[in-house]
Amino acid sequence: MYITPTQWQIEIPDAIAQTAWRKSKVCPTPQAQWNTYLNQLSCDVLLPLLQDYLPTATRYPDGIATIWEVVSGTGLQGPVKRMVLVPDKNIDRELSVPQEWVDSPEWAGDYYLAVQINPDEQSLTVWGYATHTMLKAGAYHAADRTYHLEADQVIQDLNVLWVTQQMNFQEVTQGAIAPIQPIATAENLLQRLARSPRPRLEIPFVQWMACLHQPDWRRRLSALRRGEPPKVNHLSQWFQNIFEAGWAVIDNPLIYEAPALRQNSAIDAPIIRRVKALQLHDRSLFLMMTVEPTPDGRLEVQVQVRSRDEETRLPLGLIVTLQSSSGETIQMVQALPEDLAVQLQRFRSNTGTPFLVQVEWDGDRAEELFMV
Amino acid sequence: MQSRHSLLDLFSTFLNLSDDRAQGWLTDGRLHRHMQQHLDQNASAAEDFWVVYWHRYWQQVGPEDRVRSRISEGHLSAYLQETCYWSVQRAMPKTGSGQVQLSDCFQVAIAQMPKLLRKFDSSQRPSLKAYAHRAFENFVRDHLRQRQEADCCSDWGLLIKVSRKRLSEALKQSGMAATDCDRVILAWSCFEELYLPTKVAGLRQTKSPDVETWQTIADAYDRQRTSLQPPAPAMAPAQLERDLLQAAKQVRTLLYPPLKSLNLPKGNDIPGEIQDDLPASEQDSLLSSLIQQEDLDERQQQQQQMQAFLITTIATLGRQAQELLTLYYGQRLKQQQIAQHLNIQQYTVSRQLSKAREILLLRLVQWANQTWHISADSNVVASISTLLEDWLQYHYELASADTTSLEGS
Repeated sequence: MYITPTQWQIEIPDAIAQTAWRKSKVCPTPQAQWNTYLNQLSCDVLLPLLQDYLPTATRYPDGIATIWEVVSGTGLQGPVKRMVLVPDKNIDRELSVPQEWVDSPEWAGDYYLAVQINPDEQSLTVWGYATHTMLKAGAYHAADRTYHLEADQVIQDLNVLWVTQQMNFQEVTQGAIAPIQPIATAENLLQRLARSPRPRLEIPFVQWMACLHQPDWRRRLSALRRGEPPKVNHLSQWFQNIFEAGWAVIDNPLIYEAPALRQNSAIDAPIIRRVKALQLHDRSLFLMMTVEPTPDGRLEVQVQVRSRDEETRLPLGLIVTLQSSSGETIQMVQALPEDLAVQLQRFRSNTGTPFLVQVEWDGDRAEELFMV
Repeated sequence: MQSRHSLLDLFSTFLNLSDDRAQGWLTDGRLHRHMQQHLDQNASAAEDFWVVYWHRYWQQVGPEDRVRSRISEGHLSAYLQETCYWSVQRAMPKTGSGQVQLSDCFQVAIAQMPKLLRKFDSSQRPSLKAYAHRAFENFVRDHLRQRQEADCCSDWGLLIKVSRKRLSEALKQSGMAATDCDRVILAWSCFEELYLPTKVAGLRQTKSPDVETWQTIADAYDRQRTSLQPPAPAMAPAQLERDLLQAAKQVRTLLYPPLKSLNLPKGNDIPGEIQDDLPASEQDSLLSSLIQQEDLDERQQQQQQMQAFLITTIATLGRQAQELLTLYYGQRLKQQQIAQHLNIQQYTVSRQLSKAREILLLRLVQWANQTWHISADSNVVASISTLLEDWLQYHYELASADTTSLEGS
């Protein structure tokens, strides 16, 4: 009733509303549920309508549904320009865009559509748009990492967008965006964010964005937040070539090798050595596991922690602990000032014995659960 | 309502809105004297000239010079009285529901003057009146929409549907100290994060959280309160509940501001008389940078060309599109009413009307590009869109007035 021919007001069909609600109910938190609901509605209602203006538009990034659980917004890739939909359930009109959609070159759009949804009336209104440049000139709230434009700072006339497109005006819609450096996918980071009530605010933006860029990582985060059981590494299965995600072979020979490592092994007994990346604050580390079957049918396990970069010393005060399934500390070792690596004393266990390796430094912690 | 004609009146008198009707004009003494001074010095200048003059004056003196800023804003506020009145009339629901008072909306609209003046660009084509017409109308429409929605909401529903910005504004306006505002906003953000309803896809009638949820909210508040500067005090769940309910009331107050004395001209709270106006040198430079008379003539000519072009273009649209335009702009029917009248879906009306509007804008921009050699960017297109909207209203209302007067005779 209170809309004009320069805005779109659309009744959301029952079928779309019900499907979107159903899909949202599996989300672990109320925030995640509503993010998913609102974004699913935006997509399902607007994508067909935008075909006229953005032919062959596809959503980006892949697996956007997992993203909605932690951040709101949907990317649409058109032939030339990108559009980002940001749905809002509030009464007052404001364009509020999470930083993920502005400060990452991979995700940033050219145009941002202001979408307002009234769930009670089952209606959706596209009341205006802004360009990336306009958004960057708007207010940034560090508390929730969003860029804001007030209603009168937004172009409240969609026809301007369509006409500008059709006239093919070459105008600058995007400002310069600094690239996001990739980081090693760290399992412990995943665990921490899985537990956090607001994962996107938990770690520095560039780190968070680097993680979000990796589809596997996003899927894992989603799965963990939905309460899937923690991953256990089954060491015996390594000998059958079954490895859990994240364990890699290292190419270079070891610089630092424990002298006692190969004392009791026969020359052609299979030894498996794998590494997994860990992140503690800003330090990239490797957790290296070396396993070898013993003559008496057990497995001998060696645990080592080193810096990712072979020449870097370990952070001072880094502690590696071996715990039993009951939480009792069996071994502990602390990095000394000149150490490039630390390791636990190798131990032997029967198949099926669980144990936990914990790496801790300056308040940050990584854990891996194993079963021999 | 009698229109004003003298320049002096245009820039110094205000609508007397009594019993929600326009009952004549009130003169503001200071503005009257100030305008008279200027008219004495520039006898030949016309209305368009003074609009641009006062706007640039307002821009030049800046907000720090409260006295001069208020006076120039006052002149323009006086100038826009009818515009505001007509905009509010158009934006208000046609059915005399009695709920919405014109003077209330008028006050809310005219309060937008500073924002409006900040955004207005006197070097662009839409005149201040056309620009203000759009701005007032859009603002009032949206304001009424927000009121209607808020009225349907329980206090908890309102809190879930309010933005942080609006909440912050409401708390500040209620006179709350900054540290208290921060504390309440923290409580609200914990509430909003943890308490979105999960069973039903509706927000308006959200009920109060249960005891368990209140504890979760209180725990979240407790974890985060130390990160504020200064750290917020601990709060029991019952206290949080009270604070949030109070905040909801403040938000409603923001939407229904108490009616001040009707349409008090801004000039009245300027202390003392204006002794010296702008120094002579500044006046000269202002005058010399204004539009020359030839430019004004050119503008009028362009307006006529545009009119001719638009009339031709509309005739090329489909029959239904033309009918929609007539019903929407001429008879000012709501889209729902148009849908009933034509026996089609409201959504179809919305879509076709948007499309017709879009085609007109595209043609107009293409034509303007060729004829006036305008620069190509979205700001210009937005300005042209404003012009178009204004023209459509003017053209169809005139046409409908003609038909009614014919029918009457």
